[in-house]
Amino acid sequence: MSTIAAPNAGTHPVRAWSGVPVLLGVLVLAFLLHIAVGAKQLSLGTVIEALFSFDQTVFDHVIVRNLRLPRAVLAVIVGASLSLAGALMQGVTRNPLADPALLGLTSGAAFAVVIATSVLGLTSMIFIPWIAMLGALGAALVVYIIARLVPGGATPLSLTLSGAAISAFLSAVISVIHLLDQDTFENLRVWLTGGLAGRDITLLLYVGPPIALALIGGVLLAPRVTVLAMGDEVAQGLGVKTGALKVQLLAVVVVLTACSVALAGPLGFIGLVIPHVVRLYVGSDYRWIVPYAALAGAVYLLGVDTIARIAIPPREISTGIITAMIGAPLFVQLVRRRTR
Amino acid sequence: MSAPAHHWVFRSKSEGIALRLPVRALVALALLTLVLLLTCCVSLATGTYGVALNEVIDTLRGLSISRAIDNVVWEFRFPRTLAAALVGAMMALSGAALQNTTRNGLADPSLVGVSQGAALAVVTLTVVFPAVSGALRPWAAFAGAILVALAIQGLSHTRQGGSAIRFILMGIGLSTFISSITSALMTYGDIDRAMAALSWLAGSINAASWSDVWTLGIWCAVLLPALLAISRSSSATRMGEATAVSLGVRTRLIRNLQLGIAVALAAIATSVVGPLGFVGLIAPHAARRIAPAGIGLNLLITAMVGAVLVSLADLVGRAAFAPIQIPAGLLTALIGVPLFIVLMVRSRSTASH
Amino acid sequence: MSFRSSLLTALLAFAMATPALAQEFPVTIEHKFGTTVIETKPERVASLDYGGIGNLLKLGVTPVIVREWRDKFPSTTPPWGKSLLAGEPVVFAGDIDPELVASTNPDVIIALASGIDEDLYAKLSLIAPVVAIPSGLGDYELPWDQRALIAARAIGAEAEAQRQIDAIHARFAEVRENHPEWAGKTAVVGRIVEGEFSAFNKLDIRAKFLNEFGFVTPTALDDITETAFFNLVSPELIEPIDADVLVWYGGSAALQESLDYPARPFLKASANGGEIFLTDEHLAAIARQELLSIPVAVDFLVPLLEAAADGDPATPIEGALQ
Repeated sequence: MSTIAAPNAGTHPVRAWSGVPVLLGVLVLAFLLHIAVGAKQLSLGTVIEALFSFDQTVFDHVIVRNLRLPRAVLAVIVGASLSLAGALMQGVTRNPLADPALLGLTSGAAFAVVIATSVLGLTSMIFIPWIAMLGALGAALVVYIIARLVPGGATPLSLTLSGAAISAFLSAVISVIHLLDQDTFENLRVWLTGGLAGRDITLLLYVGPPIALALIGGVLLAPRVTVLAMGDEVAQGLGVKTGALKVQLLAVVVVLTACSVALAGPLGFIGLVIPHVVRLYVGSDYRWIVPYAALAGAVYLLGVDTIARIAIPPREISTGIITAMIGAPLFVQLVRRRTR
Repeated sequence: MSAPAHHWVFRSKSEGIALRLPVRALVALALLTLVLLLTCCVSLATGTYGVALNEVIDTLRGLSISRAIDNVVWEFRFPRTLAAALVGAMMALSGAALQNTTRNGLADPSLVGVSQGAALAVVTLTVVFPAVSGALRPWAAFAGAILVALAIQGLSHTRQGGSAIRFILMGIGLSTFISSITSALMTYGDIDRAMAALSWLAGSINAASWSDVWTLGIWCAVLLPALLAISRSSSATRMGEATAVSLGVRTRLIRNLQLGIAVALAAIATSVVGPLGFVGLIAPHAARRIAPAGIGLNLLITAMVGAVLVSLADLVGRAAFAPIQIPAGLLTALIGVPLFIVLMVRSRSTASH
Repeated sequence: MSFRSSLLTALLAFAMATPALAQEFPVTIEHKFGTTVIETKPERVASLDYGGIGNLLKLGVTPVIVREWRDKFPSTTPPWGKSLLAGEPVVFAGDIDPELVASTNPDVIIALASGIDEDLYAKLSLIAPVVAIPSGLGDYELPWDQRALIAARAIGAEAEAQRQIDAIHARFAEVRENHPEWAGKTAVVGRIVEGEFSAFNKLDIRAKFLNEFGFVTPTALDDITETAFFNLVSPELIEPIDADVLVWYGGSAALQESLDYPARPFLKASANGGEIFLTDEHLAAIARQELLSIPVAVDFLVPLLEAAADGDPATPIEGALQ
């Protein structure tokens, strides 16, 4: 049990490190479970065989390699990215309610992609991640500005409310565009619900590098987030360039969110839930929270996606629905416990 | 208060009824009614069947030009127009009552999950029990909405007071949760029923028929006077709970009744045309800005504003991109969110009440 | 079985319609919303059905308003129906707008495959007598021959319709006699939807169409069939779609996706050249199930089936429509 003696006490280094191999082990297990489970019953032996001695002429191997594996990889990447982004946001804004979806970034990214695809007709995959990033950034700025204007300033509550308003607005606009342009929209409709089914894995080629860089960047910047969480003046007193740091962190969050949205559509509540769970174990030092959040996020999304696929056979529930079903009640609880 | 407003005093012979009504509010009410009538007329004159304005007026006056035009005006357009106005009034009143009960200027049935609860109940009915008749829909919607309202009540009883924003956020969280259950239900259900539920969820007033209008009308006629009566009592609570209690007002009961009526209004309206957001939020604020008035008159003005809002939204949605029809619900969201943001920015403080 | 039941139905309809064969109006039609009486032979006919225009054109009537023949199809009728078109009907798509229907001033409204509900029926009845589906059937479950017959009765062309229906049944029988080796072979019609295979099962009109030639749906597919007319089969499963003949229903838009389907190399249809890739017009001709298009569909489908079901891998990838 980690102790939280002072608000900014770190966790005992040994204890913190000990969790990593455990979590990695859990991740591998979750990964194997995800690809071992599906519409067709496959033995674990077959799965291992498919991974290491792939035989193209055996359909079971094709199932594992070409159908299940890409989806599992996607779950790991998107889960880790959104959780890491959420952890960073919560640290920077000192707002336990921060989450890329709640603050409007995912809606902004989705909106930008919809506009580019249906209104401007850009369909080439190369542009998608960058357009999504622009959208996420734009939405984040608008949400922040509005929250600043609310009496009381940009408090966690006003930020969240502002984010909710912007998300609602953008989704109404998307619906209107949907009605006016049903053709192009058919392709987007599936993507807009947010989930890992039937995704195009080749997008990973364009999105992979930015995400990898952002993940590494996030982990490297994490120690300074702890300092930032103590307050701007304190941080500056300790020699941290708060302005530059915030910009870097914003860039990381935007890249992670936008690329995740490009891969899997808007998935909500992951960035909210995971950092809180992780904090229970490692305390409030972001040096640990951030990497743990990434690992835990990957495990979480793998688990949720597995449930989505086997809960009501032979149908599949969209993963986005389940993350909302788990995340929304937690969100309500978190709001309840705030004092202002 | 500011400079004394002109009032119109009405006293009945035996002094049984004594009303003191601000003139400005009365004028506003009259003007709004006029605007509503105008909107309705335009709505009656708009549609794919070409009918000239004078023909519409003649038909309304009872001069039958042709059976076809009679049908178009009376059977196709009239129910739709009336339904839009009624739904708008009901959602506006619901929002006003909700804002009064929770003393939260940002409340709206769709932001606290009441509309979503009603929607979930109706979708459950459509998908899981398709054999049940459609007449049961308003009741199911009411049940669903009440459950959500109770949940919200339970959730907000945590500590002394609490900010308005906090309450709304909890409502948003709850409504997101309920929406996800609704989505899951539609995935699981039979494809035909899911499609039927989906088209209803889009929230369109177009399919309104006369039976829908009767449903709305009767419920409105029952709930509006009830709300007026209760609101009179609740105005005492504005002076503070202690004062109210000492005046003999049963605050708890009044509050719960008001909440019940707010929920009922939203649920019935939702069961007929699907979820319609932001009307309940905007109308009460707009009414207050147009003309300050006592509770009763304020409610009437609010209802009028709501009716005008939804009628206009429906009209624009139908006519702007013809032949494609945009559901009124989308338009109210498009107008509603910016106004919501303005209200947020202009709200007093987020301190507890 | 289906041939026999269709024949029975046709005979029954024939028997019921005998008095009306002389085509005397008024005609009374019972349906799920009640009874409709058509006083005189209608001149202006409105059709709200999917594929409704085909039946009417073949019976010599050009409707005044009709639904899109296919999604975003450029003209009112398929190419082989153009010569029968004698006028410019109003074409609509999506939701039915009663005002639009009223503006065409019809004498009768046919809604046998259009999904109208009670409320819409009431509104449409104010415009003109409405002919709806018999009670006890789902919105789109009316078999093609009954649909043609009821529509024909409403417009006073029942004898002609009966003759064409009989001719089509005779053609089906002829094909069956010429191809006894098809009886009992399995065939699946389907397409890719979001990565899964959407197979039309034994309840669907397209599968029933192939039944007429002797093909049946695979048992594995029947086992998972419930009430919907299609089954979404996971890309991991092969049995339900592993038929002798596989008809890829996606048309040109889905061609690449169909070719890339992961399970495809492992299906026996793929190994034996038993795959048929339909073009957009092909599949609409089959889907519409109208007097106009069924003969055309039979004509192009039979050669394709011959090439596919022979077990020989040398089958054309895409059939051409004359």
